[in-house]
Order: sequence, then C-alpha cells, then structure tokens
Amino acid sequence: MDDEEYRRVQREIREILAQLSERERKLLSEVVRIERENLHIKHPALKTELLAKVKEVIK
Amino acid sequence: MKLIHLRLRDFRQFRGEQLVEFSPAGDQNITAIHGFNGSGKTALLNAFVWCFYGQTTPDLGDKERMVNDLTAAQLLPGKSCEVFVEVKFSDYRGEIFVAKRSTLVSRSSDGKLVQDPGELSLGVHRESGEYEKLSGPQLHINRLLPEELYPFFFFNGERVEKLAGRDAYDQVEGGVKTLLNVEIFERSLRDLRRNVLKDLAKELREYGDEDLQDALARQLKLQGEQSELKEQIGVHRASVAACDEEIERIDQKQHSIVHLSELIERRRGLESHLEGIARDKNDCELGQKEALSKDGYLAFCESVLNETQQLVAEARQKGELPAKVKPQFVDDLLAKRKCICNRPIEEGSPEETSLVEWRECTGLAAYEEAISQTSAGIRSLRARREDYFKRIDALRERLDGLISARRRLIDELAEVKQLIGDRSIDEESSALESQRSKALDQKTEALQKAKELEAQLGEVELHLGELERVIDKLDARDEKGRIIKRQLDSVQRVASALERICELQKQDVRRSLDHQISEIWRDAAVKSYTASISEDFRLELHKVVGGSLQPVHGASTGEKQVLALSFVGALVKKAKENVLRSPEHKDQKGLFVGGEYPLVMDSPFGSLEPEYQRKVAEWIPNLAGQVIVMASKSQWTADVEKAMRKRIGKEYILELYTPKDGVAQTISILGADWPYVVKSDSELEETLIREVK
Repeated sequence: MDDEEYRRVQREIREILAQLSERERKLLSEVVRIERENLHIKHPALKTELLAKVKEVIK
Repeated sequence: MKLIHLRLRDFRQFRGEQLVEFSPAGDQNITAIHGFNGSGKTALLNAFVWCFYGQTTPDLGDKERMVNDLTAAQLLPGKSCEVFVEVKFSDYRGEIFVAKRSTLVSRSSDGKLVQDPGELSLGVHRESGEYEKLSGPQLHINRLLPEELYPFFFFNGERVEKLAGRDAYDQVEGGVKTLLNVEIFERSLRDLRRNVLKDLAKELREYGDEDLQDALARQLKLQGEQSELKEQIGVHRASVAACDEEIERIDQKQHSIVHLSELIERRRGLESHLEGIARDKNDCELGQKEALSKDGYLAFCESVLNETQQLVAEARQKGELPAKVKPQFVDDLLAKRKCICNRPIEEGSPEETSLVEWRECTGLAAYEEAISQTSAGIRSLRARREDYFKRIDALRERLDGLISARRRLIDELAEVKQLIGDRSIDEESSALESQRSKALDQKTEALQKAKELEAQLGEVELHLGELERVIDKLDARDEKGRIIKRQLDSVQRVASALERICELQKQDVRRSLDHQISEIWRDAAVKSYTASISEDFRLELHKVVGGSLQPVHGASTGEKQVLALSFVGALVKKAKENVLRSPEHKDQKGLFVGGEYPLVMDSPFGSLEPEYQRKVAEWIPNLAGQVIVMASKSQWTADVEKAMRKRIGKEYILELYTPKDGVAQTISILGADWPYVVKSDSELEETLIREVK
C-alpha cells in the first residue's frame, strides 16, 4: 500500500513536470541543484547565481 | 550510520582516555550503559552531539566546559592539554569513518583556564585500505546525519515526550522535511519568489507600458500584504497552541486534586462532546451553503414552471403541436391526391386546404422538439425542487437538534465549571479555574483573529491570481522587455510547480509516518488509544467515544513518551527507506542520504509508569538496528532486565568515584556485584567506564 502510494506521488510529480516546457524543467533542476549544493553553507551570492541561471536558461 | 566506538579523552567526567565499543546490529543490538545520577550518562549522550555538531543538549550543565575537572585542576600555568571525542562509525555503504572533535585547554600564567573553540576532523578508511582525511567535515556529517535530525536519534528519554507537546510541531515538521530533502525545494521556492521574481519584476517595470507597470506595482504591493498576513496568522496560530498547552497543564493539575478528578473528567467529556457538535454544526452549515448556492434558485421557480407548463398545454390544445404526424406523410398524400381512406383530394377542396394547414404545423418539428424537451425539463426541475426542499428541511432539522443539544451542553458545562471553580470547595482549584477561563478566552480571541486574517489572505491571494492572469496578457514595449517577461512567466511557473511538488512530498511522507506510528504504537501501548500524526504535523492520541474518534486530553507523561518514541521509530524506518527508494541521492552533493540509524537514549524508562516500563523495554530493541540505552540502577528494574537481557550485546558501568561519604554502592549484573559508586580520596568526582564481561 505504501509503495503504491509512493508510486502515485511520483506519477503526480512527473505530471506536474510535464506541464512545464523543456527550458522550464531545466531551470527547475538547475535551481534545485544550486540550492542543494549550498544547503549547509551561507552563500551571499546565491540570489545573483539564481538570477544568472534564469537569464541563461530562459531567453 | 552504525556506531563502532566512542573514544573520549579528558571529556567532562571521564578522565584520561576511555573507550566504549558498541554492539553491532543483529539479535543482540543493545549496548546497555548503567550509571548513577551524575556519573556521566548525559555527558556520554553529549559526547556524540558535541563531536558531530559542536553543540550540547539543553539539559547538560556547565555546557561550555568540556575538560575534566581533575585534569583541569592538575594543569600547570603555561601548560595545555587536548580534550577530544572520537566517534568511529560506518555509513550505508559500509565505509568506515572516524569523526573527531578536539579542543585545546590551556592554563594561562594568571591561572585562568582557556578553551579554544574546538575543531572537527573526519577521515574515511577506503576499501583499498587507505585512510583519507576529508575536507569540509561538517558538510559530510550533515549529509550523513543532518543537524536538524540528531535530536530524534540522540535524546534524553525523560524529555522525549516534549515531541508530543503542542509546541513541538515545528520541530516534528522540520525533521520530516529534512528527512525527505523537502527543505531544498522549499528554499528553492522561497528564493525564487522572494528574490528572483522581485528582481525580474523590477527590471520589467522599466520595459513595460503603463498598464503593465501599474499591474506589476500592484502585484508587488499585494505580495507584501500576503507575506505580512501569513506572518500574522502564524503568530495567532502559535498563540492558540500556547493556550492549548496552558489549558492542558491546568487540566492535569486539576485532575490531580482528588475530589475534583470526577468533575474534570465530566468537563473533558462535555467539552469533547461540544467540539464534536461544533464540527457537525459546521458540516451542516456548509451543506446548507452548498445546497443554496447550487440549487437555491429552485425555491423561487414555482411560478415560472407553472407558466411554462401552461404554455405547453395551450399549444397542444390549439393544435399547434400535432405531434406524431410527420411532414413527409402529408407531402405524400398531397402528391398522390388520395387520402388513406381512398377518397380523392381535389385541388381547392376543403380536404386539400385542411391537409395544407396540417402540413404547416408539421413543419414546426424543431418547435415540437423544444416543447417536448421543456416538458421533460419541467418534470426534472420539479423533482429536483422537491429533493432540494427535503434536503434543506433535513439539514434544518439536524441543525436545530445540534443547536439545542449545544445549548444544553453549554448550560451543563457552566454548572460543572462553577463547581470546579467554587472557592468554598477548594481555593487552589478556583484559582486554576480562573486561569483556565482566561486561557480559553485568549484562545477564542486568537482563533477568531486567525480566521479573520485567513479570510483576508484568501482575498489577497484571489486578487493576486487575477493580477497574474492580467500580467500574463499584457505585453512589454520592446524585445528586451519581452524576454524579461518570458523569464518572469517561466520563474512563476517553475515556482508554482515546486510548490505543488513540495506539498505532495510532504504529505506523502506524513501519510507514511502516520501509518508507521500507528503500527509501532500498537505494539507498546497499554490503553486502546490510536496514535497518529495530523496534517499539520501534530503527534496525537485518539480514543473511541460513542462510536467516533475523539482526541485524548491530558495523556500521561508515559503515554506521551511512548507516542514520541513511536514517531522516532517511524522516522528511523523512513530514513532507511530513503536510501532504498532514492539511490540517486547517494551521490548528490548536499542531500541527506538516509540509511540505517542508531538510537542513543539517556534514561528512556525514567518517567514511565511501571506498566509501560516492561512494554517499552521489550519494544525498544526493535525500534532501530542498533540501540544504546543508558539508565540508572533504579530505572533498570527487574521487568526491564527481564525484557532486555537477551538483546544486550555489550554492557558497561559508569563507575563514579566521589569524595562523598556513605554513598558507595554496587550494582548486581548477572549475579555478580560490580562497583557502582566508589569512595575516592580525591576532592573531585570522576567516572571510569568499565565493561561488563
């Protein structure tokens, strides 16, 4: 039952992602990667890095 | 994470270098550590916390000083000594790590003791046999066991019940989020909305026409209002939780006053019944609103239905609706010039005129069909109207019943409250009752305020949604502006997707924990309560009253402790699942990898009622793969001994050496007596860790 529920959630996540364009999906994964890599440290330039990533991916 | 050993040097009570080796996971997964009060059980728990995070738990006294008193006393001016804690452990891959935090303690020339901030080092023994020192040790530790999670794995058993308290929701939710890495999604979302979107909107204001600039300015204002409202709602919700906590505290105090306990039980029952009625009343009112908004017009359509029916009837009477005659049939008669009764149809004859008139009527097939559909529609509307009245009447009747039941209960409750607060019976109870009334009033006020603000927030969010659609349709002045607008739209869509993913994952892990908590609770609970974790991450107990589940008020400390331990057990299981379900996380920098975790518990039986001690002792070995239990002689009862003995793989005694007279005692383990508290000639206390073999 638990596994079934887990698969349902994963399916719903895939559906949410499918509603984004390819560039938007790339942006999402890049944002999460940047946040993940800076999770345990204070990073004052994070905002600039995220904005630069938006400009790079969405043209 | 599997603990292999803990090595200490001159740390707190433990002078010199001392070692504890832990029993690995398996049938004998328990490492039992016995110690007198003040012998260093809490210090041992803190050795892990200090080594991994440079922190201490709130219950450790003199928390800044790590060096052993005797060692410090013997330190000469100008000399220094190293204090350290070393933890050797393996991760989910079986790789062996050694974490060591050390601090240098020096005696200055003026006799003062100086301790440096301490430093963490982390090394790994690779499969090849090489030992590699890792850079960024704190990052590695946080990946293996995030700081937010350690209070669930290294804890004081006597305080763990706080997790089941009302002020622990944030801690419980925080733990759940860290466990599933939801925190990263939340941070991404927050940074995109707070920073990136704001910057893009600011840029776009320079490139948009007047309408766009105006819409963006309004959006910024509404977003500000939205965050302010959310913050205020949080404050009022926290105030409601604090009032609940206060009410529960007073209830427990009143319950302990013997002659009041029956009245307090009655009040609990009445309040719980009233809460149920309030919920039912709310459901009824919602049902009324829904029926009214969906079918309310049916109440006013009687005259329209009558008039329409009249029109249809008149049309039939006038012969406008010949109904069954098909135009082709009349056309055929006119073409053949012969009736179906074989009489000829002469040109210009009254028969022909009559047929031509019939033909004109039959041409109104569409009209006929519309009238026929209208007739059917009238019938259906009449049936729905009747059903609507029946539903509304039933809801009204139920609501009346609930209102009068509520009135009766309120009167009864007022009487009970008056009896509880009657000064002539008991002065203490009277004071408590007035505190309780005050807390109840504050709670009602905070709830009301929170509801008002939530309604305002709903309005603001509605306007924001409308504004977003408007902005979406407005265009920028030039190509550069259009690019920024595209970026803004995309960031909004990405943020919204992240928000939905976040919520899905949070609720998925909550559901799964809820399922596990209820299963684990069943194994240890004495009473027939059920345990769960609510949608807003509250650990709750329920009982069946009159066929419906009601929250348990005033659960005992033991019950709360078992509930909190059930949550910890569920968390341990979930952390293990993390690695199995998300193997891709293992190599991603920054993510909590999960895996199997040990439980290190200080005094888990201390505040338990005897009936729970045996149950918990039987149950603890199954909560995690590896369990370290620290307890005093008085906590380690015969029941605990009986339940745990077979599962103990390693056993230690914290031998306390004290200058105090008349406190020396031994502890009996497996039929032999071992030194437990020993009289020493030194002026200061110290502890020796002795293995029971």
